Amino acid sequence: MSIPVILLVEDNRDDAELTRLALAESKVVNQMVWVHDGQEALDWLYCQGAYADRDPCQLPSVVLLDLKLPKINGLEVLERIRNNPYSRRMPVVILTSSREEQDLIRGYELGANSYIQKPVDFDQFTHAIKELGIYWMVLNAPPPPGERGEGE
Amino acid sequence: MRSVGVKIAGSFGIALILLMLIGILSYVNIRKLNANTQWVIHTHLVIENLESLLARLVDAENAQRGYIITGDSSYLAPYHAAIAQIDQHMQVLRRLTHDNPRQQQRLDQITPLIQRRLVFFAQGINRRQSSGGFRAAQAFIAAGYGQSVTNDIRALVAAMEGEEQRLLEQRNREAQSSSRATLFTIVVGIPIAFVLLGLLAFAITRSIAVPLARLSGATEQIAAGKLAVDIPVEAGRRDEIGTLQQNFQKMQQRVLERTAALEESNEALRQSEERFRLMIESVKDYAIILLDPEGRITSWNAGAERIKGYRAEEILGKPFEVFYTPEAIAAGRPQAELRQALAEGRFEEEGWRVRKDGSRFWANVIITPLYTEEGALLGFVKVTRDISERRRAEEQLQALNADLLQRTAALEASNKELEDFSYSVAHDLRSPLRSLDGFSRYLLEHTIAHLNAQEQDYLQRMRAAAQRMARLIDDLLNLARIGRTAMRMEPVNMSDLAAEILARLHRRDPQRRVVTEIAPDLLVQGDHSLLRIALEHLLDNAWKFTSTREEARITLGMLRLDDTAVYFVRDNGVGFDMAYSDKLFTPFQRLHAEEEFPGTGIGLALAQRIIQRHGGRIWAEAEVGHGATFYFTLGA
Repeated sequence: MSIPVILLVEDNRDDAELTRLALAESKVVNQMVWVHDGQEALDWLYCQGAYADRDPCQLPSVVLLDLKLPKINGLEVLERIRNNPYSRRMPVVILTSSREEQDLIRGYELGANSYIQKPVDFDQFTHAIKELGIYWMVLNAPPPPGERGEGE
Repeated sequence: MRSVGVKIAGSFGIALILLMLIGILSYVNIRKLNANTQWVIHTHLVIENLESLLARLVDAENAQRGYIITGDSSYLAPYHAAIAQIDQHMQVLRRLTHDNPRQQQRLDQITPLIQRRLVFFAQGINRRQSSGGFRAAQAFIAAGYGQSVTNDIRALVAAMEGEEQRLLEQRNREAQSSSRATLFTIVVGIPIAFVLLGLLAFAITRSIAVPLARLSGATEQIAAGKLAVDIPVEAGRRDEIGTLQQNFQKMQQRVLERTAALEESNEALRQSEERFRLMIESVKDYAIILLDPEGRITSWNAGAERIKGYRAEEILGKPFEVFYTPEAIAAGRPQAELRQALAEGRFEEEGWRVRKDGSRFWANVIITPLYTEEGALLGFVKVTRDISERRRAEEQLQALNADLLQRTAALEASNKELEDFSYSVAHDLRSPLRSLDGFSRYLLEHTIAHLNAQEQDYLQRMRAAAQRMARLIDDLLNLARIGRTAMRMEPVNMSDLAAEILARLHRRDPQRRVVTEIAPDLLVQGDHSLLRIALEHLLDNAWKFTSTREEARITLGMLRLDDTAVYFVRDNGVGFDMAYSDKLFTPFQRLHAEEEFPGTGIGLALAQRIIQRHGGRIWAEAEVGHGATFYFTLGA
């Protein structure tokens, strides 16, 4: 089972706040969890490290993943998520400023469900986040849960 | 064709027949003469016998008379002898004249007369011996019986003699005419035969011997080397001589032609050899040396002198080892190289060689064995080049290459840096802008009641500035990316692309009245996404710069210029001053104020880069206030 939570992996405070604002405006999502880097994201997902006591230890509805992250970068986080049978089917949307084709190709190769470039225009940004929230939280039927692995 | 053989045989035949005729005539005439001579003898015999007959009759008469007168019986012996002879003569005469009936007839008349005369002789003798004796006998004789018979005999004998005389004369005449004919035949026939043979000889000489002699004279001259001598040819002559002359002339022609060809090729060969020799001798860049089978130098050219420093007279005959370094000689390299050249047909290497002054140079050496046509080894050709310069150049080139590799690596590194930079630009520069825009927007929305119009305007400006900077960054990154993304060539329908882009523009500014005209099916070969970007910018510009027009008009078309397809985007917008046309395609170069027509100034630079990557070119024509036309080609 997944919980109606969006996990935002974002190192930029501003972007995190803007995303929160956009999601709040969409009135779709009440709960957004924000982690600052790749390692923290993995800890949160697999209830380890600082999040070892997270309860209930369940996967979010969708992960919004920035690519340029401290410690473990976004693509690597995605790779680990996909390599773990437990989280293999969890929706992951890449949300980044990068328009580099190589990032886009690599992202899809690693099994990203969507790739969204953050627009500078906040109206457009809000629009994109809103649609994203509606799609993944409301319209999309969540995947059946994978087997709980040993974690990272 | 009447052959020479037939001619000769014919002529000899005529001469032989003539001689045979002469012979036959002579033979016949001589036979006749001979027969006549026999007949003359015969006539004489007849006459002789006739005379003898008469003489014996006279003898017998004389003997009888002697007896009668003397009574001496010794006279009776000659009388009997004469009588016996008379009989013999008569038999002879019979035999001699048996072919002449008239003479036989006369003999027939004479025979009884002789009998009667002999009877009278006997009666005279008997009378003397009888009783009457001398008187009786004398009377008997005086009676003259005997005398008249004797006279008859004489007359007949005379007739026979006359006959024989006449025959003799006749036969003499015949013999004479016969001998005259023979003489005539001989005297006339032989000269005629002579003349004929002479003519024949003359004819043969003229028609065979003379031409042959001329021909043989000509052949002698040819044999002596005067090939161009005139061969006498009798036109129209069809016999062996004619054939001989013609064939000989043909042969001479062939010999002349062959000789000419031979002389020509000999001359060509001589010239070529001379040229070759001069060429070899004058070659300065290559030492071309001939070696005998043992490796001694037999020929030396200018190049060899220049490269190795020896003059021909001081090096000819020396072993070629002198060009090698002491190390190479110690290792037996020179002879090994000859052996390798023999074994493989060629030896080539690059290595150190030594000049006369002892200095070394880097040489390219090729050694090739030379054989006679029979396969005997004549020696070797050794071609040496001084490639010290080339070696130096190669070393320099290698150094340059190494340098270049280093620089390339450095360039690649800086390119990588640039890419990393772009990446961080894309990522990091946009984030603050997003914050600026986002929070301004939030403020605008949530504090609008507390802000006056000016404050709201400032916030709007902040948002606009942030968004414009984001566009600038995007365009800049596009410009960089277009230069390095790989092109994928495929058929592209530019008409469809343009229709799509213009439809989007219509949707964006539905209030505008823009007439668009697109030539159908402009099919080109190119990168679909790049061409889309180029067309987007060109049409965007057209759209933008016609915004002040009541009725805007945008055209995409094609025309042909020297067989090259030239595409164009034409608008009836504000146009521009052609004085600035060279700055049109410079990035960030603008010809209009930002307030008037917004834009980053990068669109045309992008379009130009895309067209250039397709091997084409782009240019513009415009007039202020009368629109602009952008032309472009797409290479071959």
